[in-house]
Amino acid sequence: MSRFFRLDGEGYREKLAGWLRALLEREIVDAVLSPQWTTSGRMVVPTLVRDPRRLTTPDPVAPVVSVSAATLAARLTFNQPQERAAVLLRSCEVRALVELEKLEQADLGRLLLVGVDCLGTVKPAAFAECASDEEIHQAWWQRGTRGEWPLETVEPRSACDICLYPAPGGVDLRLAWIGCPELLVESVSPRGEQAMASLELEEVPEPSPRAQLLGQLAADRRQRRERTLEEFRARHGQVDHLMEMLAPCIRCYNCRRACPLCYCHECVFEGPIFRHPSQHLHRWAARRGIIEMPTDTLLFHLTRLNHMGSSCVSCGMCEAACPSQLPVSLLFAAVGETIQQIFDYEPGRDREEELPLATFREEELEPR
Amino acid sequence: MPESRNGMSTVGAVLVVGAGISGMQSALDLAEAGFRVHLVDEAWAIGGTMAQLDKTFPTNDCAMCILSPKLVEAGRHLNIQLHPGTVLERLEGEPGRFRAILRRKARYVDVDKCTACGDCLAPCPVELPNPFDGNLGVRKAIYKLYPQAIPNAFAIEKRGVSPCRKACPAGVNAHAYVALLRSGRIKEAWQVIMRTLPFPSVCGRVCTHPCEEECFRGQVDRPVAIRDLKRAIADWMAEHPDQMELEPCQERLKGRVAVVGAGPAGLTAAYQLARRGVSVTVFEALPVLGGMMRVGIPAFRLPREVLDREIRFILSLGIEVRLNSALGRDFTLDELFEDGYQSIIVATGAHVSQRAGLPGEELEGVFHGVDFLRSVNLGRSPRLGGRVAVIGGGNTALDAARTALRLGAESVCVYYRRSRAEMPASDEEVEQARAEGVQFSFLCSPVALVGRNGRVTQLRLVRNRLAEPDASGRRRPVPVEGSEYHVDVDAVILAIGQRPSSEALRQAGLAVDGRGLVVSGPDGRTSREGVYAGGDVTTGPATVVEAVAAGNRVAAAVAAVLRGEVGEQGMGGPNEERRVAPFPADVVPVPRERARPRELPPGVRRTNFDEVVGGLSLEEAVAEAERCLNCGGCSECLQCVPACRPAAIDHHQEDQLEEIEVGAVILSAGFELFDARLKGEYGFGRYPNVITSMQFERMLSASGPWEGHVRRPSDGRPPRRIAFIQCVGSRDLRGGYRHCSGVCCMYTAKEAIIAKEHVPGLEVTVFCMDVRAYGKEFERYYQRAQEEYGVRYVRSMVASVKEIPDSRNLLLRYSTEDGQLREEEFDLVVLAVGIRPSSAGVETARRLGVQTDEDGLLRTRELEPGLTSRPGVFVAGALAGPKDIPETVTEASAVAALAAAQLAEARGQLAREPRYPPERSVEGEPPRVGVFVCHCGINIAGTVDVEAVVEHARGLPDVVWAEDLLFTCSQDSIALIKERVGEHQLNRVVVASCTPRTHEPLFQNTIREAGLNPHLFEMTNIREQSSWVHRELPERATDKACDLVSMAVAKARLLRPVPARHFEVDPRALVIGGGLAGMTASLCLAAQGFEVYLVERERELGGMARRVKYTVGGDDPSGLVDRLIGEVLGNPRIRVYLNHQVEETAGYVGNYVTVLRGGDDSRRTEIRHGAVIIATGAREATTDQYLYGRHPRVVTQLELEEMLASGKLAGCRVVMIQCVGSRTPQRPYCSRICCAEAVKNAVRIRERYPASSVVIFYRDIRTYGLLEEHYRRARERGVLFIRYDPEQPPEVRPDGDQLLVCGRDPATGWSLEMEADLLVLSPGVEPQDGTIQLSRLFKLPLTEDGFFAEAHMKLRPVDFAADGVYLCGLAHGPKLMQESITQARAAAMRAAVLLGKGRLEARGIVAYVRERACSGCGLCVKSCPYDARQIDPESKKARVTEVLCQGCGACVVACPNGASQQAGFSKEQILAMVEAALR
Amino acid sequence: MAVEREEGQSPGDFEPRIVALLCNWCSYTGADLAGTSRIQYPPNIRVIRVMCSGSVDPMYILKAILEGADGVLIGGCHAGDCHYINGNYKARRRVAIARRVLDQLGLDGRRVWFRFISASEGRLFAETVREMVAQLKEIGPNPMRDRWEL
Repeated sequence: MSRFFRLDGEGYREKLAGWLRALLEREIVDAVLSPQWTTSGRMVVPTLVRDPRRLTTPDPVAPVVSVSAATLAARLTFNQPQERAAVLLRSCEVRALVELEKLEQADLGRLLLVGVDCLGTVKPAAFAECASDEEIHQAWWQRGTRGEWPLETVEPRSACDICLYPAPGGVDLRLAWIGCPELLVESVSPRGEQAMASLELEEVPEPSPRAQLLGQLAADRRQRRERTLEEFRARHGQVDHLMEMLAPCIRCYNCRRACPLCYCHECVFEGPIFRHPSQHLHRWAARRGIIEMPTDTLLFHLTRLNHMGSSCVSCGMCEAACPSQLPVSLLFAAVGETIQQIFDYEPGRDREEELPLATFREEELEPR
Repeated sequence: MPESRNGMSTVGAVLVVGAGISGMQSALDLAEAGFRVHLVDEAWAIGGTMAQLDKTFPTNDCAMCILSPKLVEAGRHLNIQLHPGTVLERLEGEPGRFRAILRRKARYVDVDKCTACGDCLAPCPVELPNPFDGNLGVRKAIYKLYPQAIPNAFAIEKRGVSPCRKACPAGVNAHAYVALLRSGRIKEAWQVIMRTLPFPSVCGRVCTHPCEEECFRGQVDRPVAIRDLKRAIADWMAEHPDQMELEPCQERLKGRVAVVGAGPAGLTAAYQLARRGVSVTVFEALPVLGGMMRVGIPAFRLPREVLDREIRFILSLGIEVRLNSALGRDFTLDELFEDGYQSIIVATGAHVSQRAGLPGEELEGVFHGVDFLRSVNLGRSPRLGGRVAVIGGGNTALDAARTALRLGAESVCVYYRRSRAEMPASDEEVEQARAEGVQFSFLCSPVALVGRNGRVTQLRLVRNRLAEPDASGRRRPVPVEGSEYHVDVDAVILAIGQRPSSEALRQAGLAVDGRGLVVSGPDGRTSREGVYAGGDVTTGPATVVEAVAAGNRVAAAVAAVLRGEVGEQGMGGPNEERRVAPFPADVVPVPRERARPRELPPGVRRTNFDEVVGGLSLEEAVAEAERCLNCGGCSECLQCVPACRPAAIDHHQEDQLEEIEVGAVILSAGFELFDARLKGEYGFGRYPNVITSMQFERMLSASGPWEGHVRRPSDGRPPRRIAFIQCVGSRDLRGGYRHCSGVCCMYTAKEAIIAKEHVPGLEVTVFCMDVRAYGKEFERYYQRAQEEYGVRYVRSMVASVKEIPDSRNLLLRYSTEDGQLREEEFDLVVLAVGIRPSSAGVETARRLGVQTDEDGLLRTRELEPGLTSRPGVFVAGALAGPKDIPETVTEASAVAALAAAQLAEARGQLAREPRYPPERSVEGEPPRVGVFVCHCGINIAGTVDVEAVVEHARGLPDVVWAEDLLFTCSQDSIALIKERVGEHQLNRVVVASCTPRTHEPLFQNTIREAGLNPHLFEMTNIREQSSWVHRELPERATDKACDLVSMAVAKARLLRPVPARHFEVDPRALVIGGGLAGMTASLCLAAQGFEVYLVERERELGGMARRVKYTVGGDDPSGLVDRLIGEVLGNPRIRVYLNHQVEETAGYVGNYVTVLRGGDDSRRTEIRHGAVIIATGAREATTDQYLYGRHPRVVTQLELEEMLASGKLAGCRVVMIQCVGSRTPQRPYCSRICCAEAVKNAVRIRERYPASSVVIFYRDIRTYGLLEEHYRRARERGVLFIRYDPEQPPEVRPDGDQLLVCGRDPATGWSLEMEADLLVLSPGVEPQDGTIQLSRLFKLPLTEDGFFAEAHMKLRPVDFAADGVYLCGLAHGPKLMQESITQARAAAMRAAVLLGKGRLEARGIVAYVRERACSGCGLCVKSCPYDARQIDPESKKARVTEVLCQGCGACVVACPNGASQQAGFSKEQILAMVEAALR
Repeated sequence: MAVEREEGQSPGDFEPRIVALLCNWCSYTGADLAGTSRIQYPPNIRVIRVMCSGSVDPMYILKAILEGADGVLIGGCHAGDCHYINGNYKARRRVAIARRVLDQLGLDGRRVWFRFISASEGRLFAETVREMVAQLKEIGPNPMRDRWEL
């Protein structure tokens, strides 16, 4: 049921801008959530656009994410708004958004989910350094459409390095470019179909190398992911290393704020339960002789693993946000994966799949 | 007040007689349902027999642990008035408005004042067998029935006056001083004596001790040596003069009194008056004090210094003495009055010797008794010569004789006119005299004295024979004619009596009678005003103690005058008006020799006047005192009175009558145990190692006499081999109880199991006939006893038990099932005694005119359980027939329902609402935690160092108070906790004791009464989860207890008050199942005014009961069923849904919405209701065994019944097989009703078809309780019962049209083969179809067997763990029709209690939402199994429907950030506990 | 007695500390029953009563382990017996996750036990404690007991 459409316009940015404008102008949606270049031209940030004329420099392909669009998209759906929005999301963002919906934090009913092929992103700072370099951009586009990591000098974020989903699933439309000669729109759901219907675009066959290329990419990534996580587990599966890894944590909670799935308005660790009165700290220290300050660091991370591990989409936003450069993304990927395996659950895979912590079966697991 | 039909108003109160588990349940149900309840019991505390039990079968719950909350609840309930120690005397009036006359027995302790501190225990010297412990242990005469007793107050056991005390003329309380001596309190013992006897040393030597004659110990072996004990006390005091301090005298009198005569009477009177502050002057004619004590009694019997000492003490009270002052010679009475004496007491004694009137009496060498003794005692020794004859048989004669010996006589012979038996002198003096060489000559009277030279030389006598008794009761001597003879003598002492010197008395103006005695009234009043007389002068010669008695009496009279009273007064006088205690039947005296004081050797003593008889050493005396049987119970030593600080003790209390108005009466006085002594062949009462099951129960109990240690009573060693003998007094036509007691088989199994747990390696053998494990889960329990615990069951009745003398082991003689006689040795035998209706209960019933049967049972008609012959009077529990606890509890609720229905119009009329003090706000206060650590007697303190735990608690943060309590749940502790809350401004309370599951509500209520929100309480369990499970590791158990307390405190500090919230209760009920139980429950609810929806899935009402044609007792169930159907259909409050089933249900206690589907059009009906009663029944099990379904002549019992009802019995050779499919691994339970069913049908066959034969193959005949009579009837009707082993069941083969049944007769071991026309199977009872679905729908648990599982096997038999749903009938388990009826009423009552409330308080542990933090993720909604949560569509925040919330906390965990919390179990609380656990 | 001493001595007299979270209706009652039945078991366990095993927050388990508990026992009703319908299944999932997390990070998920123990299984409760103590003795002390970098 997947259909590919060619967009009008020259370069991929123009094609995209034109199409997005058309969506607005034809009132297929009331707004578009899309990354755009900042006026300075040095960074790409998410924008919410209602006026088609202001859709000047959309660029969902640019390899940078400053904040997970899943959170932003979710926010657009609060209180059942009348407005329909097209949201441009990378795979990890789509999956996070699906999880958020399961957690009642998003209502996908009025969103047109537009997935964007993604080979990975770099840290915003690194991106800012090379953003204006047109050559790099050309390389990106040219090598990227072949499925190759285009940047020789900048490493992808570790999460992206092991991401299994270059092409997002579970969307209405997909902006396809990996294995494509040019930017195409792929409609993959009835709603996507419907959105595309009035645009009268030229339908093209699926570009021949795309499926194979995506398959190859996924296989490579899987291998890498397994290797990386195995290494990680081997090292951090010991208390000493775990502690060493987390020792620099400054309890800034940036990880949880950056995490699209940490949806709590107020983290339990920032709430009254962990606001220990001074006597408590003294008693605690007296009991054990010594405690690390601030307290509860390990408990915080372990608890977050318990809370989020089953839904972690491995987007790596946490790690990107960590001022201490803790490998929290790998920690979540490694532990989250094993948790998800217990329940044969893949976060974001399917909107109908129940959250592992919201459903229970009589016949499962051993009682021990 | 509502008016009843006859115009009289109905009283909304119920009288419940008997406060055992039955009475308590009735009371609680009725009180909760809005009635006022008077709960009466003869005992001083409620609880009944269950309080004595160690464990309960089949769950092995600790009986006290599950009972205790009920005790407390009943004790605290605002609408239950307890009447302990009370009997119902009369019942007047009519149903709806009775007048009940209650008699409240004297308790001697004011319940309101008593704090149960126990300070009275130490001073109480009397230890009595403790019937609560089966008399294995002892308790004091002042006692609390058991530690957890409600009301928590002491009582004094008075059984009457001890015979010794009653026998004493002076009213000396021998029992008291013996008891005090025994407990080592000599001074107190002396003080008790000194209340009425100022001459303990004197009387300790010379008293004729009438007390000892009456002493009940004399009926066992020999009386207690009371006199010697008195002497020991007095002599000890003499050696400790610093201790000589009288009890403070209560009154001070003013006045001057003259006492004339310083003998025992006069000095006693002087003593008694002087003690009271009266100024007394004693006038004595002789130069010495003491009267006869000094001049009559020789020094070898009463050393002078002893007498001097006592007189000195008396005089030390400030008495003035005038010696050598004789009335008439030296002064007159008039002069005394003139001198200002207000009263004069004349006690001049009888010092004039009686003349014999014999020829020759004036001869030299002839002396008169008292004159002779007086001379000697005053130091003038007359010359006697070698041969002395003494005439007379009294103590004076013997004293004279023995004095004569000491004065140098060579031979002394006492001549007495009657025989030895009639001799008035005391035996011991006779014996002493004999030993000293005094000779005796009986049956001879002197006729003349012959002298030579004016000096006597010969005594002439005549021999006597004894004729009929004279006025004194002694046989009269009659001279034998011609029997005169003489003896040669050197001196004769005539000791035949004395009299007063009447001349002086007459001259003093006193009336004197013919014998020369002063005429006086009982209080000593003489003919002259102001003059009183007492002692020998009014009675003639008597004993010291009688003189003392007279002194007391006269002093009392004078004191009364001085007090300004008129009329006669008593003061410590004899206890004439009081009943003598009966022989103490509960005492099993250990034979013990009476103490024998040492005597000087006769050869030594006859040469001097040294005291002949020595005293007992103190140790000997104490040992002798231990022989006392404490006949009177309380000895009235009164030591408790000053010991009781709240002054709660009143020894003068009397029984009181009280009249109350009630609308109905419930009799539930319970049962008593068969008196095992009546089965003499088992040796109970003779062999110490034969005990009753109740004694064994107490032995097993941790709170029992031996703290749970199983020991042989004879030597205290743990037994190795125990035999239980079943049916002692049950199923017994010879002196026992005809019925089966219904509980013994199971309690034996329980006791066997527990004993084996207590004593490793113990072997237990049970001798029994049938094992009646007929109740729910019983069969499994019985199997466990055998298989898991290795209890051995022998099917045999024991013929006899004999003790093996040396080992005191017991030899049991019994015949095995195959008829062989065996003997086997055991070291402890437990008699499983049966139960019979409590005799007190039966007497009450009879006083009320309620019919009882020949066994005393308040037997009810089979299908009308609970109704007695008197309208408005109901019966529940064992009074109506033996039964186990759950049946009793069920009956109790059922009769409560009957009473509630009768009084429905007066519901709420007299009920009171609980009132709590206003709740103190603790907001903003820092936590102030109070910690209370319980000893639980020794249950905790025996292992855990409670003081150390308290010390630990003191060091915990925010703990401002910590203390230990003996029993934290006792009423005084509860009061104390409340006090502490106020005293220390506690705002959090922690109790470390037992399990919060039973006791938390009690303590929550306690702090509520102290003004704190009940949720500021935390409890931790250091008993079940520490002391009991780490007995071998006391230190680590203590450590653990400390940690548990730390954890509780850590949580408590974070507790927050939870405001009370209420919700409405829909007053309608849904009853599911339209059979007998469902209809009965519906009608019962309707009668109490509630509307009922009755759902039946069949097209007609009646259920299984329709198939039952007659009951085992011959009642007609079809009539009942038809009547019930009519009533149900005609009742406007009952809406019946036939052909309907429950499709879905939602809601919660008080508010259900249930959807029914049914009718011909499968209509959906939604109903709202507040309660549910499950009465879905059961069905006859299916079977394919024994050719059933394959041979036309194989039928089930129900099918047989239908055949019999229709008169079409196919053939007359009937064989029945029991337990088809029951009690098998596949269906392990007993179906309970099959035995009765088989017996019923068998009897009917035999009675209808005389030519028939019936053979029943069975495993155990389980005709429990009153069903036993039908089993007996069946045997009498010739039904043949053959037992089979499950391994060798009978075999059935088709034999053409007939059947061939083969079995094995265990009695002979032979194989049997019989032809049968009809084979009848008892396939048992199975859960009804749809039970599982219904259980899921209503979230109700099922047992392993597939029946519904009630909330608690014993005490909540018709409730479910979830509130609002109740259970009755066969859905609960197999049972008889009458049991179903009872259970249905009970379920209705329990539902009515809920429905009548109007509103309920929400649980305190509901979840709540911290809205600020809530992200509206809905995980909590998804996790809530009760739909108690939603996301508010507006705010996107989660919301809790509190009434639906059951407090499981699933939502709390589901919420990642703690926005969802649960009161009482918040995350920070639990985290704090975790931390505290890992200190 | 001799046997017990031997057990206590190897290895190194280590007495594991166990924090137990027991549901009010089944396991706590079962523990009570062990008490009323006087079934003896090692005193290594500190019980926290919760209403339902389904209310055991994994954070409690983690906290206990981080505070140095050698073992954590969660007791719930048997399958189908939960007083709150399915709290025990919820607990089972959460415990599984917590164990997995601990396992992954070298904290040994074997320290966390989840057991179904009914109100009538006093003996099973005691046996469970015995077993757990024995296993924890083999596993050895929780390294977190002496660590402060939490």
